[in-house]
Amino acid sequence: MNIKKENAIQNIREDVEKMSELVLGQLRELDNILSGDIEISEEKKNHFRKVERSIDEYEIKISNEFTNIISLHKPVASELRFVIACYRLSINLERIGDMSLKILRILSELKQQPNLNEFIDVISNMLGMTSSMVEKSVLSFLNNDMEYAVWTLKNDDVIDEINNKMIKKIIKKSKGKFGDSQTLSNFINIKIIVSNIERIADQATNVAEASIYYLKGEDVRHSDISEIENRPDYKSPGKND
Amino acid sequence: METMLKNKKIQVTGLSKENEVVNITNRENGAYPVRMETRNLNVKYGKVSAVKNISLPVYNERVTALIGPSGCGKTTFLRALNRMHDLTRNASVTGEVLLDGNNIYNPKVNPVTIRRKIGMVFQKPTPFPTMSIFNNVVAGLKLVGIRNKALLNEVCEKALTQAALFDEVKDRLNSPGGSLSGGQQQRLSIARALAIEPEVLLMDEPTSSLDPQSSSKIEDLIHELKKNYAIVIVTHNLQQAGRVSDYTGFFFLGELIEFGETEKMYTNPAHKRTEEYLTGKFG
Repeated sequence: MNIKKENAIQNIREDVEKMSELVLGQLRELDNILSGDIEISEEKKNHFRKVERSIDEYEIKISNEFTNIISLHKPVASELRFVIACYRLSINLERIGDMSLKILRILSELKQQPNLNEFIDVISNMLGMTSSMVEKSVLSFLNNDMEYAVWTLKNDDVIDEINNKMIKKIIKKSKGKFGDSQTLSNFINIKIIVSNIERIADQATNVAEASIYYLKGEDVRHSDISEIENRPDYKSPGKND
Repeated sequence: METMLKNKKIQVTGLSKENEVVNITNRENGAYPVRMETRNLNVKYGKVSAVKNISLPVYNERVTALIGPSGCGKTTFLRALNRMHDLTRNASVTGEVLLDGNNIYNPKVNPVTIRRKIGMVFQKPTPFPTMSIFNNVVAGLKLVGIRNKALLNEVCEKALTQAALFDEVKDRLNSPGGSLSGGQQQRLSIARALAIEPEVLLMDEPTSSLDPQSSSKIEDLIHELKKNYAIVIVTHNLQQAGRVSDYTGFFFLGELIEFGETEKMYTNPAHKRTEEYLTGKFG
């Protein structure tokens, strides 16, 4: 066993774990905001931006670690798949961080109106589910858990459906409100928030696909999830002896 | 529609407004014929089994790498491919080694004929040190009685060119083989193996005694040579096996644990033992 290689792989793993924790923290923060008063203090915004910068720094750090491992240690087999998956995760996690910040910014522009509450409840549920997808996709990678990866892929369709329903609802509710610029502005902002949550779910799907690539050596991007989930060897991790 | 990307031909087909199916492929199409094949090959030294029941194809115009920890039987297997164990005391070979469908271990087959068809390059360069570069290359031909000077000149130039050595030595073909650098000596050994126009080329750790630059030249050479030969290479250098080969066989304790496309084995080996060996967990 090459100790330097093992350490390098352990380091990139720890950085992916830390980056994931920061991203999940941002999502939890958004969830807390949506569950309570949507007023957002400057202090909270500043903290959010600070964490976002840390997420960006982790992306660059992981990218450098990935380059070094490939050039210096020339990993093969599961180690190669692992570091490639780490690199893919770092890109997806960084995008989730960007979108979380965008959601926070839009939330802070929303003005409290009675007709907003029904949307906020759905957004909160949608975000909760999306956060679970991000968490489980990351856990599937870190804990070699195929079931979590498949669960994430399956739930992307659910989020897409909620997104479509929300857009229809927004269109329906905004009819006749074109004279009311504040209400219209709120609807547009809600549409942006919903779209960003949907894109976060897409990123979680990408993480799950990277996890499956690491665990099974198979690229399932653009594959049919119903076909994947029925495979017996996708029920649990393991390698043929 | 056709375009070039890094020297690889990319074909994009089926583009139409009605059916926008895009088929992009950068893989070379078509299967390669099996030039050589072992069937249930066993090699024993006395009572000790060094190679156990191995069946493995060697494809034409492809490079097959044999990898595995020391003592796993890969060199023994390689030497069985051109009957070199005939000369080893206590060694016994059972099973079949087919070259173009014919068993080379058939008692009617002359081993010298077989070694003309299946060339071998060894771990250490093996030029005759005092013999001239020219005579080193054509030694095999002279051995079988060919004396035609024009023919020998032609073969010498061709073999040295194929071994990417001609330009470096064309002005000193009468200098002794021992005067060349290690890398040049190994290419001279390859030229000697090529001079007899073999069908298969066996290489037993051909770069293990060379510096990185010379190794790189040999690797480039292997890449060129595979256009005309079936090549089997034994190497301890896993990265080299990955770079030069199209197929890889992983040997362990005399058994062939896994055989398949190198690309697949290096990214997703089917067997746990292969995975452990490739990632350095043993061996």
